[in-house]
Amino acid sequence: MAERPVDRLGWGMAAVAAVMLVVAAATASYLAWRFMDLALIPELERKGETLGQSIAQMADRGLAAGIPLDGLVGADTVFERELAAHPDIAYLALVDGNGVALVHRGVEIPDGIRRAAEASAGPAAGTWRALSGYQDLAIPLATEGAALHVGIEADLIDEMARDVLFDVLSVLAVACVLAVELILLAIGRTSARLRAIHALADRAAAGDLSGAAGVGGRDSVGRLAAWCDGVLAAVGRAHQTLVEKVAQARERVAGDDGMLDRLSRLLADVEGRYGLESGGTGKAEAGAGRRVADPSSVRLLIFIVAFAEELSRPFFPLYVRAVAAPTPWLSEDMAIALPMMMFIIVWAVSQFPGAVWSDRVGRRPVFAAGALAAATGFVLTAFAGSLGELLAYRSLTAVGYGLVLISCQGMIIDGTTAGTRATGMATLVGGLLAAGVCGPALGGVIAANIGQSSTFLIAAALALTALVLAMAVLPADRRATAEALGGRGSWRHGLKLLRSAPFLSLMAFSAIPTKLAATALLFYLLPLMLAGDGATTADIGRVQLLYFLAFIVAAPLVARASDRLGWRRAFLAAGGFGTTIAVLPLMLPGGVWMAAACALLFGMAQSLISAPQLALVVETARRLDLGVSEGVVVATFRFIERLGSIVAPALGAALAMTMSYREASVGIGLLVGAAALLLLATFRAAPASPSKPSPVLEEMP
Amino acid sequence: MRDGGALTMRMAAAAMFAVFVAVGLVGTLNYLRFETNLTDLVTSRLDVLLDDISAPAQLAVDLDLDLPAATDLHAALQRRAAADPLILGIRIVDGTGSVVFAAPEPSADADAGAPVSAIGLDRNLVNALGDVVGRVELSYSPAELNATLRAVGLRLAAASAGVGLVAGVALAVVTTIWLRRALRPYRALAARLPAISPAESAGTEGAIAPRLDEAAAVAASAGEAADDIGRLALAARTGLVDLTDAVRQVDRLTERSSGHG
Repeated sequence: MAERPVDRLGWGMAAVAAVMLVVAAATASYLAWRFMDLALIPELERKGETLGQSIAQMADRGLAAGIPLDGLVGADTVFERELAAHPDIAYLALVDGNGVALVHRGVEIPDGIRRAAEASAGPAAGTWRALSGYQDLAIPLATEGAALHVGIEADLIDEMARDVLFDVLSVLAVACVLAVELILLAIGRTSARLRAIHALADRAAAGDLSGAAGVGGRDSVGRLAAWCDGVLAAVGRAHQTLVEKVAQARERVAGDDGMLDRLSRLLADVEGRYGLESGGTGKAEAGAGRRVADPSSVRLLIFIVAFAEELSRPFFPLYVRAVAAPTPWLSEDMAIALPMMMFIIVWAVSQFPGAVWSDRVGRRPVFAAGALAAATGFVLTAFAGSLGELLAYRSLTAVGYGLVLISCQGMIIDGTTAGTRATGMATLVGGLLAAGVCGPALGGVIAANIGQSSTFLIAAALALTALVLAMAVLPADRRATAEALGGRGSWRHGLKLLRSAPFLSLMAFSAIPTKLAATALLFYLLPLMLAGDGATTADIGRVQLLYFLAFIVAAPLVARASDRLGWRRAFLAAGGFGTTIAVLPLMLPGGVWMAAACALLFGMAQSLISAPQLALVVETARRLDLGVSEGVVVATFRFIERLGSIVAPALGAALAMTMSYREASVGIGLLVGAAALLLLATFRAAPASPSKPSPVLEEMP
Repeated sequence: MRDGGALTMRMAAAAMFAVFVAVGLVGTLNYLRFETNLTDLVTSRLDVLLDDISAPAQLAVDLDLDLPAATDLHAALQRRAAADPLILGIRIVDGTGSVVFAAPEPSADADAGAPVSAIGLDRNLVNALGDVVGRVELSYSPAELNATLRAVGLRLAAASAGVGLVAGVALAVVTTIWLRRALRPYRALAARLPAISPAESAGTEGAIAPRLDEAAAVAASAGEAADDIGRLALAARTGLVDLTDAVRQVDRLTERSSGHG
């Protein structure tokens, strides 16, 4: 579908808002640091003065005892000790009356020290003065003209400001995504109505004059939609006239088979040409009377809840380590893995009863219950005191998250037709991706500043916000679509796939290892490894952010290339080998930077697999001709690949028990590479009939 | 509300909210970092002060003097306490925790130890064998630190609110102008295409044909936004002509059949 002006407007506005956010945040940061200068510089100078006075008193005691200035033994040791204890002090120097530094430690003392020494005997002694890049304080000693000089880097405060730069950038990335989400939400209804008019025009141009836009509104867009509906109503009326005429004619020519046949052909010809049906209901009428959720609202809701969950990604393993008391029967690494495994299992399992419940009672109550359960889980997790409690509380969160996800999927199904479901689901996935980008980055920053438990409380507040929003924007319709209700029993058909060798090969050597690597590396081993290297939770969050950014940028390009070339298996293998290559930087020295390189390469490698893997699954099922619908194929595939996520923390923990986190990460990378080799050896490609995978069903780990 | 007003309001509100969230988060982050830096600096300065205060006591321990016997320590503590009004108390306690010297002198009804809100630091006194034989405790008023944090916090909040307001309003204005421009073709089109009445919808092809011709003409001159309307009008016009023709054919067939009969 061509992009409409209002769609462009939405993205344009989002871009303008992003620029404005950056400018506003930069201005606010600049002003903040100017205010802070005013408070930090005097305090820094006071500290320098206190330290200088303390050392000067020591020197004066020596001088008072008759020791000459150049005979103060041990001054260099004192200077070294104090500089090591106070890295914000740039230098300490004992300077005689001629400006000669008798003892000096720290950075090279400024050229102007002689003039400063001369001045130290004057009235300005004891005050800070600027000396070629440093703030210098000369404290007069008991010998005439001699002084102890204390130096501070002039731009030390600016360096402190630079320390916060990465955090500010993380916050800005999140704010920009939030701006895009909000603007897309705001413009969503208008955009949807214009798309409905556009779709109507497309269908009409293609010869389908049935249906109606079926959108309301008293503004210009609503009036144009009404005009379109009026035109199509006229067509419908003309069609009705024809149908009545034909019926009357049939009565008149009853018994004349030739004439009856000609009348039937005439009617069928016109109806076929314009997509009209005698006695049929229009497409707009079919959906009439049922209120469905606006996809933009659903996207915002899933974004908020997923964002809340993603906040704890950078520090969750560290949090478990802090909460879980050592037990003789469970290693620390396995204890860390358990809540992660439990979460994924409960989350996956809760989707089945959740789907049934959602179909029965409606989407809104299930979403509300899910958001409430997730919020409660977050609050309890924040106060968890043992591994058992953590397992219970994370399970509750997982149930909530599962219910939220399944109800959102239900809302999309309710509000779309088979033809528009891909776009609808892509909207939902967009929200999940945005949360994946923002959550870890901001969660790391929040945890570094206010603590990990408090971050869970913020997550709870976000889940409750989603609950309140849902009650405000979601319709209270209790009926699910027939399609949604009919989908329940279809899981049995998925079992047919498990009897197929190519499908199993694809699952065992690509789907499961890919998911396993994503969970084990990104959410288990990397955080623990980085924390061991001394990285902050903010650093960990930013490393995880790089993975998501690489994935989001590369995945659409790969999807297009894969569709054009049709090399599904090759892309999968390349992604597997790419994962092996991605972990190699971890063997090099460089701490956070090498982990960042690993995350970036790993994101690219996973993007090579994502879309081609889905396409290959669908194509393989089609080739096998098992009579299983695409939806069931994909659902089965998603369910099986999650086994990788479930196993991942346990495998990561098992490896970490026998080797370092770094080596365990490399081990996982090698495993995925080996699986790619086995895939090449065992999987036979489907016939070349490239079909575009539904963007819909693509999913982040 | 004028045409497109609700959308404009929604867009402006969304833009302003995003700006406020961004500026608020950045402001909070900067403040938290500032709070950490300033507190670290103050604590670091007090560490130096405590080192200085505890040095004579440690010297006494190094010389194997009994702490209560080193009476000049008491005078030194009092001088220190008097030099900085924010020092709430300095105490030297022995290995059993009993106070040996304190400055200022504790009143009879005063609680032992630092006030709850005070910044408290201590330094162990260690003998040659490495045993802790006493401790020097410094209790410092956080009033100045808190006042500075509060003052900077308020200025920061005011600056963030100001920047947020200016940026938010600017973005809302840009949004409004941009949106009005984007919706102008739709408004113009809607104004030139009066609603189709039920009579026109229910009438013959001839009744609605002028409206469709008018729409096609309007669409041709109204650019991209009207393209959908033009295509729909054209398709509907063709469809209506064909349907009308079909009705005529049915009439003819019926007449012919009746004639034969």
